[in-house]
Amino acid sequence: MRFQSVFVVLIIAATVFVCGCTGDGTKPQSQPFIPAETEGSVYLAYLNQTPDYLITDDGRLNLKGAFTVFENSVEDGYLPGENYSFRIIRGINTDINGNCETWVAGALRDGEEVLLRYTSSGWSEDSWPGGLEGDEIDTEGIIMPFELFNKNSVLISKVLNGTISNYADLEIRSDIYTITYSDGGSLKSLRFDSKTGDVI
Amino acid sequence: MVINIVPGLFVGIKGADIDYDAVAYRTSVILMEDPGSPSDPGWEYLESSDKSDIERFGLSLSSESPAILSEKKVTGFFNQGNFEFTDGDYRDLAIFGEIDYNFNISLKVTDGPVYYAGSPVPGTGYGYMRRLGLIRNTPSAEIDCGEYNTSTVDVNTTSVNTGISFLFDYDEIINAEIPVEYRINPLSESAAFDIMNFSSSLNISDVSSVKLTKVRYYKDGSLVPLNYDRFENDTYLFSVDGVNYTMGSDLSADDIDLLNSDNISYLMFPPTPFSSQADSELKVVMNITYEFSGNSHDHSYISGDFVYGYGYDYVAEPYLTPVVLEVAIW
Repeated sequence: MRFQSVFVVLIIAATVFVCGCTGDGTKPQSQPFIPAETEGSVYLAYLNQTPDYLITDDGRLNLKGAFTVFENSVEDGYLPGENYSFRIIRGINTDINGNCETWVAGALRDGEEVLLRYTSSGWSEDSWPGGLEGDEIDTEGIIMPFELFNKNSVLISKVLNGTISNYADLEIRSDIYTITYSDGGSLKSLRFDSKTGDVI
Repeated sequence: MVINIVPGLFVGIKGADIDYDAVAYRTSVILMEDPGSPSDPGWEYLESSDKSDIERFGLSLSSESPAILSEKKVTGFFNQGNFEFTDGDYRDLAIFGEIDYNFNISLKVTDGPVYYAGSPVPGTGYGYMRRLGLIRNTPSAEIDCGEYNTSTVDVNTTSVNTGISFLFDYDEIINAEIPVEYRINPLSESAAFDIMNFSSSLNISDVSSVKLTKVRYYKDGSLVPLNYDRFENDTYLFSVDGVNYTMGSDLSADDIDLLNSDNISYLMFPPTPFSSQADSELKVVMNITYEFSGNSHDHSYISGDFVYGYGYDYVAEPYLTPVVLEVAIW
């Protein structure tokens, strides 16, 4: 029985792989379903790993790349829904260029609240058992973090260059970017217009 | 704009695990921005025996005011109120997921208390999220009798039947033009009035007896028919110097001696009577009888009509204080 299961899995894997190869050649970043076996049961492992060129040397990720991978992951079926609406996006431990160790988001997927996270392993989804407030984030209309950081480089570098804080988070919601950082044992925040990048 | 907030407990500590970070993030947003369920009235007003009716924690005042926390929800959540929540309750109702995560949730109020739930944070290998917000302080009325011992009768008067009353003009109180975080809302929050320094403000040498005979509700000027001599602890809590009483019968045997009592407290739980009728007025009247002994000068005593609303110096209206919520998951 175990052998049969593995055999079936291999056939599925080969089929999916072939389909992937004959699909849209412009989307090679996402990898196909890789069936796996564990504890006697078969499950489908979603692997839509982030391509190396979107990962900085110290393992951080940029938001623009995250959105690109997200679109591909949705189109290729690596995420369970088709219609997502981001409501809140958080970048954890940003660097001086707005690249973060990981990105997490609260979103509506076909009207249902979900938790999304983006790492070097790509996007994955979990449940969000609660209300999720906030307007839809226009992912194409907002200024990207590296543009925001570049536009406000003097202000932000003063905060993040290590003399004030070596750890800061970045959040986007309701047309506002917020950088939260520590300063001498206090938490402070900087707020910017998410479309223009102007300080609020 | 730079917003200066209070010290963070884990400032500078870096989240080590991506999945834990995501769970910490979800928990922090739910706690900070969600009112929880049930929400109207809120889970914080459930009896402790009914805590199984709570479907989800959330500390937000309402869904329209994310990151503005309810003081009552915060104290209830951190076991400073009627509830005794377990680690399992926190996992089921705030952290979620099929894994029995360990956690530490803390809330620091600027120039105020620090609340904790969970276990000590390990040195490494945990996810971490912090969020800034505000906590709304519940309104209350505080009457310092030292300022109100101003009513007088002439020297020949031997007794006075008077009272201290509180008026709830719901049309004025529930004013939709006031932002929800600053709005007094007797539909969903308690209303408290504390009368302080009562006996110490009296001219004791002049007053031979002072008794609180009963407390009564009046709606639009008419006495509300109720069984006033029964404890109704789900609707009000009436105490004198920490001793709880009913609102009193018409029998003099139930009178409360105030001659040596300093603190009279009346707490009404939501929804306060008739608060769902926006055009109605509720008056809470404490009937007090004074007897005077001196005969050399006019007699002074404490009484007055107080409005529970906006713009009165004895009403502490809702105000906001910065907080930092920190969630660690491992």
